[in-house]
Amino acid sequence: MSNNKNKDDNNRPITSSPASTVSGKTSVSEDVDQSLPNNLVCEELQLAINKEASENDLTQAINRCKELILENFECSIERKWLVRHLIELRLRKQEHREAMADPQHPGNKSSGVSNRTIKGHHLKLQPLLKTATHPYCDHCTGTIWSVVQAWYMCDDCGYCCHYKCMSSIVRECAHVVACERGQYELRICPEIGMAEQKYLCAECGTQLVLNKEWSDIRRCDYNGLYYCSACHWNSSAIIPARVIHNWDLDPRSVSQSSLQILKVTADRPLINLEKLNPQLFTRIQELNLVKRLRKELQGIRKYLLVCRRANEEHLIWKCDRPHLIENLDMYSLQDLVDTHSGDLPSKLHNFVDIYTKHIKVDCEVCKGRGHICEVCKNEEVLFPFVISAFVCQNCKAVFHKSCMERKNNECPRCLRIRKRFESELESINDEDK
Amino acid sequence: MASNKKVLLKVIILGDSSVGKTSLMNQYVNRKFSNQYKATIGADFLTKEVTIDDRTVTMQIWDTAGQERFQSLGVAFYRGADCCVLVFDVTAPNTFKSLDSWRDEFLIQAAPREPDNFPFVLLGNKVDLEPRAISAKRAQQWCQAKNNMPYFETSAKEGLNVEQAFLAIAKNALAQQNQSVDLYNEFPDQIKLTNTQKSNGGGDSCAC
Ligand SMILES: Nc1nc2c(ncn2[C@@H]2O[C@H](COP(=O)(O)OP(=O)(O)O)[C@@H](O)[C@H]2O)c(=O)[nH]1
Ligand SMILES: [Mg+2]
Ligand SMILES: [Zn+2]
Ligand SMILES: [Zn+2]
Ligand SMILES: [Zn+2]
Ligand SMILES: [Zn+2]
Ligand SMILES: [Zn+2]
Ligand SMILES: [Zn+2]
Repeated sequence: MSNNKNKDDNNRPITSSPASTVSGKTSVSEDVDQSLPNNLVCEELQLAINKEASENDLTQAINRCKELILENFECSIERKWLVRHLIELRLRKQEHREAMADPQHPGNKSSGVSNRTIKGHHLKLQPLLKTATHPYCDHCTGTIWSVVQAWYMCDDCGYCCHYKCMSSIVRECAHVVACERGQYELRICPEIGMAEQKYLCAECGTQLVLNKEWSDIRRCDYNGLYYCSACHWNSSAIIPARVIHNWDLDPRSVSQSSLQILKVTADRPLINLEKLNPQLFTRIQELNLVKRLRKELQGIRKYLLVCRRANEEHLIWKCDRPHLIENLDMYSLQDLVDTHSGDLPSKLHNFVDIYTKHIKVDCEVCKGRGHICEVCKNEEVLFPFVISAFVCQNCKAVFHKSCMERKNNECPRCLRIRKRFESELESINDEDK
Repeated sequence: MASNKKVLLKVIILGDSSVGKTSLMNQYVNRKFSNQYKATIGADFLTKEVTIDDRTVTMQIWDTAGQERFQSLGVAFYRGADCCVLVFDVTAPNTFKSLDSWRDEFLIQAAPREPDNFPFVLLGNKVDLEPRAISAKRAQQWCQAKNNMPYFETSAKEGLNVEQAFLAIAKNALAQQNQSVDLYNEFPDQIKLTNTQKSNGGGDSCAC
């Protein structure tokens, strides 16, 4: 799971920031060079840079900073840096005061709490870091000044918030919600309408005011509910129901709570595509290919499971999506996204190659557990998972497809077993006479 | 037989499940026995070095599982075998009845050049247990009808006759290998070899 919600993987078409919120709290991208200008190096100690400081130290540093600002030219790099540093110092001082006044505050060394469980979230205190971009608070939508403000992030769903917002969190942990529900919303944007919602935000319960010039009422395409702009940031995500029914992978606008649910479930095999929409396999070529490869991998798995060497080498665990090998029908949303992009078929091809090399070339035991077609008695070792193989559904013997055609698909082994059985019966009958 | 080349003898142990195939192999290779039954999964082989007539050879002994749920696994490893060991449990008559089908299946899958002369050895295991269901005489009769297959009565539990049985298995396997090599080289030494093979079988059989 991604630890930093601002650093989404490119392949995960989920975007998120509380852009154009009513309060105008927008992202500040810190593209300014953060390093200390050379001319100010001698002031490093007095400016309390990157070090622990008492309130007194901070007050002194603020004063020194003000002096230096006046000493430097208006448009100089030094002055720009000093202004930014002054803001940071003031925030630090404020945070420091709050910490001292609040025994629960993590900055209060006497009893700082670094782990909290609220609404199912496992919130962990984050280190104060200088980063190029700042996370947004999932509660108040404000920027988290991660350099100076104490903040927490949920280990399970990535929910981020200020220390000061923690006590009023509304949103349940997406991980808990996803586990309880266990299935995606399978209807496409199932709207009930605003009246049915009593004109309240589906998450925080704020009144949704209709007659405003600009609309801050937003619909979530995943669950069809209406939200206020603090709970719906116009983030976008691929909607499972649209993929399943329409093979439509275009991202749509979703609420933050839906976004987090879609994020934490992206890798879980929750979609039984064979049951929900079997037609897709005949209509989408890549899906058909993935299905074929999974079938092959299932047959391969039977070999790896009983091979001592394969177990010692943890071969099966080399596959980062074990459900693709363990069963045939379940897909994660990510699987479908990667099928669409073509990444999954090539990934599966790769695993088939690695595994068949073990079975057919490297491992004497696995090779020994192959089959020899008893129709043609060819030396070539046949495996039930290859395309050219015919597997007798009754006795599980394996032959060449072409050889079986010549035998009118009558299994010679079954024939032999039946004959043996009949002659045994006869001899028993003879003994009785 | 003066060649000092490395010799690998491939031996396959077959028989119904629980007759003691894994136990016999463990007793022979590791001199260990466990009363606990642990179903063999898939197949695997152990190797053991043996000295026969001043020659060191490596025996590769394949143990198998007969369980239904592994039937999708094949028996390509039968190919190139030098000797096949059939095992039954002297207290379980059904395991004796299955011997014919084990032998037939082996011959079909292994497809040796001369099926009639391929060396099998029969082991009647668990002789430490009572009551017996298959007498030594009945087993020997069956062997006689099968080209005088050598027969040993063993107990994997007590280590009884295990060493002797496997030595005979090794000798038969080696004879088989030399014979096929000689056939290739057109060295007409086979009559002598077949004789030693037969005397091995007759001489070392059980003493009941
Ligand atoms: N009393 C006795 N028990 C044996 C003997 N050989 C094997 N067993 C037991 O029979 C069971 C099956 O043995 P195992 O070697 O796993 O049989 P396999 O399925 O043919 O490999 C185990 O509980 C063994 O302890 C034997 O010679 N005497
Ligand atoms: Mg076994
Ligand atoms: Zn906040
Ligand atoms: Zn959470
Ligand atoms: Zn809201
Ligand atoms: Zn293997
Ligand atoms: Zn064939
Ligand atoms: Zn069949």
